[in-house]
Amino acid sequence: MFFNKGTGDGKSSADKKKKKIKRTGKTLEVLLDEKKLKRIPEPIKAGEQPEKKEKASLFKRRKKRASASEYAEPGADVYREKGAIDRPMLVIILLLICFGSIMVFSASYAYALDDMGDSYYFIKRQIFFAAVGIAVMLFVSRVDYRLIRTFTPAYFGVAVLLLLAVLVLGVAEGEAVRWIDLGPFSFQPSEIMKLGMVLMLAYYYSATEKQVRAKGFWKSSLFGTFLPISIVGAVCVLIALEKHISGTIIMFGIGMMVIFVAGGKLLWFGLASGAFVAAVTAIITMTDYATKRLDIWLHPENYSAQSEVWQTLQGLYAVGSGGFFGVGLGNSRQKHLFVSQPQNDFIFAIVGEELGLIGTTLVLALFVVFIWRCLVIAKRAPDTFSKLAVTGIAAKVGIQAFLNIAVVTNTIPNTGISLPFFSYGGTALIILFLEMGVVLSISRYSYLQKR
Amino acid sequence: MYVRTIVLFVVFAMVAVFLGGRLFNLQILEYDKYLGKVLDNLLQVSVIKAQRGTIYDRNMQKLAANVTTYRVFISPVDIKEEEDRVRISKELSKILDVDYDTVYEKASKPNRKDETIKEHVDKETADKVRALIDKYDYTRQIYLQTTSKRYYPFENSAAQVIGYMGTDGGLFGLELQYNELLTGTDGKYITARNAKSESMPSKYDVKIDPENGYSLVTTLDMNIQAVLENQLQLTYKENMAGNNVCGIVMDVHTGAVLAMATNWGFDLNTPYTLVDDYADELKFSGLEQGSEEYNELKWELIYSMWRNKCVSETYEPGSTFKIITSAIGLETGVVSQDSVLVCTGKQTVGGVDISCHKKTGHGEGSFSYLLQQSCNPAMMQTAARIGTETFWKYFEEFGYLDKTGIDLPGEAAGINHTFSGFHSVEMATSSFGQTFKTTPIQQITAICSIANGGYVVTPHVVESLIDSDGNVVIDNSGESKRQVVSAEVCETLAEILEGGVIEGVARNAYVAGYRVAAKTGTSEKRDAEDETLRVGSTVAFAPADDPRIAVLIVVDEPGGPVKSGGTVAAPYVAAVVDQTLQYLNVGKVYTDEELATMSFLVDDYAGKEVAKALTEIETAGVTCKVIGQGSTVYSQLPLAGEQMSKTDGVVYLYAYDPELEERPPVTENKYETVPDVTGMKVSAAIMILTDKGFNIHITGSLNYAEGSGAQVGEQSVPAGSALQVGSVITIKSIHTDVSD
Repeated sequence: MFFNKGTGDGKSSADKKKKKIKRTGKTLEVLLDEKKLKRIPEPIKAGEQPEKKEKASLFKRRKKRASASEYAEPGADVYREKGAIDRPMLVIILLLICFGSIMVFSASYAYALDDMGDSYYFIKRQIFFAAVGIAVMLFVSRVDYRLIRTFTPAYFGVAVLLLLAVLVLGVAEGEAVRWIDLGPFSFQPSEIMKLGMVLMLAYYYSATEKQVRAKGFWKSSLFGTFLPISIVGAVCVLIALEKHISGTIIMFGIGMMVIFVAGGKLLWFGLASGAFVAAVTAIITMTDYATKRLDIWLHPENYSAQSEVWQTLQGLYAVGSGGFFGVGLGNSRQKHLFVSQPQNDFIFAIVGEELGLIGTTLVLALFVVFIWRCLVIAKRAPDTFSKLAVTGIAAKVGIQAFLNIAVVTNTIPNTGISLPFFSYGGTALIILFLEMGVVLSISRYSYLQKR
Repeated sequence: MYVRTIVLFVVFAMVAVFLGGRLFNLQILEYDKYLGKVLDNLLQVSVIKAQRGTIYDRNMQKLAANVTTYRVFISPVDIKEEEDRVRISKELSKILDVDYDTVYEKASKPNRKDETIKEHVDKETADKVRALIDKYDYTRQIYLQTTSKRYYPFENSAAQVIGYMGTDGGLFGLELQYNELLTGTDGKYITARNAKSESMPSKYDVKIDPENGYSLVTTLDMNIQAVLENQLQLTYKENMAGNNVCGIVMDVHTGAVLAMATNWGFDLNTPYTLVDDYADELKFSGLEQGSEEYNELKWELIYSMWRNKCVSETYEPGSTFKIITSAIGLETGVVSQDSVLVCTGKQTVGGVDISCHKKTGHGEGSFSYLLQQSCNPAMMQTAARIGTETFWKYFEEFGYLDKTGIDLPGEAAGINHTFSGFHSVEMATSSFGQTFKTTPIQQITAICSIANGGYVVTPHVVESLIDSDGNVVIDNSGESKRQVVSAEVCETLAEILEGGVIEGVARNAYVAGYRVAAKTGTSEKRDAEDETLRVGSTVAFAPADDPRIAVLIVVDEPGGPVKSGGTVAAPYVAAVVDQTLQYLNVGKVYTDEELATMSFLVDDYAGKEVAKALTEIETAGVTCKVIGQGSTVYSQLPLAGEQMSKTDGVVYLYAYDPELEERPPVTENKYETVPDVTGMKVSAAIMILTDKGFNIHITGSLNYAEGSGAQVGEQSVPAGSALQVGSVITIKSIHTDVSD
């Protein structure tokens, strides 16, 4: 198969130097023996010469834990082999998108018929975008992640510019202005920024490893926590300017998770979360608005006249009425315009209604497995950038998925968050697949070998 | 990094487990609740209205029926363009005669799918709306819904009995009494609808057919009802009844109410519009229109107008109750019709003097004579012989202590003594119908049991209930409950009462050709502040030898100079009896005297041969004078179609010879001045008028033979005017000397 060939087409000059290797599942040693392939030592970053002492210590560590790849600084000791993409990951992604597309079809057709006059309106577009997205994913999965790393600052810069552009050119949707309309299609720069920020943080940590791991508490705090937090903060401010609360929350969550994994000081996390809890409590108890929001959240049935609450309630009804087995695929009653735009943020409600607890648990499980596989890839990834990039993307998908499910089950107040792979959405889906491409690209380097 | 990655995963896994728990809670533990919510969402129950039953009279004429009307409503949410909104508002306000702004305001409401513009629109108007819809293709904006409206074809006849159906069912009368049975059970059409109320595929579609309400076949006969209502209106006007009049015609054997009326029949189709008298009372109440007191009074008057006086109000029956006292006396054998009793004008009972209406006393007389004269002491003496215990027992047996159980709402219970408080004085006053109150329906029901041979019947208005296919579902035709007195006693009483009509105080109830048993009554309103207030009533049943109907008319607070029931009620009862029996095809049997006094209907003799006409007229027992020469009649007096008394009557025929071209002029055009005969004895008036050559037609009491005491109440031609000899003067005969 196409992706089994594992051929590095040599998109970059670095790739061109590499020899091709076939992945058969056998150990590299055996492979090498069999195919008489040469191991090619390859430093992660050209021009950066790791110190001997550190190398030794790292090596030692790796020795202790046979497969440990953390703090990989392979240098001369480690071979970087470009292998095949991670097949379990690919299977999970395809499962999710297939499941998601089926649900988009089921959830949308009544609404599509009513609103667009064509039952297939959404599913046609969803399949198209999924196909484009998969193509993008496969393409990106073949790009050497180091090239991605190289382009990270530029990508991030473009994302920042786009976010600024939204403030000027953006298309309003309700109160919030978060879309840029390019005629045939429109997109949310914040979606682009999610990947941008993840990559940027990864880039940042890979560039400042020394400082981050410095002995001094303050220096380490500054580089490991404060500076990256200020990146996250700046991005959040930009998104908050769009009045995009859910986007801001997700962005913040992703950033915190990346910083946490990258080694942010726990002390600051502790202090920050303490302050956060205190602030939220204060806001809720001291402002009427927040108190009311809280009441709406806890007793939505008293506010059913508000369209947002109406949506929450109808979503709850849908999920609740699914029972254990659900009413059967295609048989949702609530999708008949009770749940507004059921193919979007509330698609999980239709999953719950049609497939019951079995279906919803399956979706939860798929996302857990997805996260697990991402983190496995991250663990095996060759360097800080790749590890953090995959971790960040996993965090993004995980946060969005679980926040979405929490919204649909009224576990948290309603705020517009889509369910990755499930919710209908053209450009967002392509960007999601772009991220998957990055993950798969990195997964090719899961095999670190001793020299 | 590795550890933190694991921590991250664990956090995600924990969140997943938590959400899983939340889902378990929603989908398993709260499943029923949410399923219910979804079904609430989904299932639209459209009610298929059951057709309300029709109310018929006994000739199957519709008294209350349904007519199809339309509800016009709009769907503002579907009116997208301002241009359409304006046009719809303009056109609808024009067609439906509704204020433009009101329509526009409704058309501007966001998110509404059903805004009623007007209800109960007739078909013609609905067609106009339909044309509007077609013209501009407003099929999604304007809707017509078929509804139904209750319609009362007889408008104000028997209004209080039939009753009215308001928005939520019957408000009074039969509509209220039989509301549930009339209503039926609404059907249902359950369909699944999406959030826009459009149909959607579902397995929940259910249709339950409505069960139409039963129809009522009443015992009312609208022809008899009309007769009764006419007479009630007459006595109301002529005797200036201060507190209204009411009357009942009842089948004595079954207790079927043939007619029941309270004067002031208001139009059931507009039951909130006050009748003139009430409207005046409200208008001149001095209250500010719209004020709280004003509205209070208005509603009081509306409710009073709706009230069925025959069943909901009580009165002291007065002398009409003497029938019952006599029945008990005759049944127990303490008196017979020939028992001799003495009236000195008063009776001392338990140390209290209770007077007779005739202060000088009726003197010594037979029981039947004294009853015919409505003597109070005779009754008190009879009651004393009966004894309180027996009296009370019969009182109860006749049903006075209970309600009659008539199938009409709001039947009042009588206001009675208690047995422990029923001593000789109470019994004495009760014996002539005072100191206790009963309802007109109770009174006539008791009289019916005398008329039908002693059986107590249950009065009823509904004969049967039929379903929409005409099958009888419930048969309500009356069954007698018990026999109270023997048939012999009833026969004796009927004879005595018939005598009372001929010679007694009930002479105004006389009907030529029919044998009427009647008893009049005038009772004091003992609970009223004004001591002069009276209730005059007369109860009759006929024919006396084979009773079929009983009639009761109660005149509450007559305002004229004469207040006795024999005057204010009896003549009207007679008219009702007469017309009702004729309507019921009961043949008239005239006595010789009656035949002699019978009126003669003048035929049209013009063009006839003189000899033939002459024979025709003389065969009928009327004198005929021919004026002029010739073989053919060309003119006559009285004119064709007039009624005249046979006695001393003369028909003038003007003859001419048709061979001659020229008709001779009507000769002997003699005129006489009409004298004032009102207040004279009828017999004297007849003599005076016939002496002048006038023909007479007598209405009212036909028992006007010399010595009957009948007087002329009214004359049709005013005194002093000149009238051609041979013309008919109608005089109304009435007995005014009939105090009871």
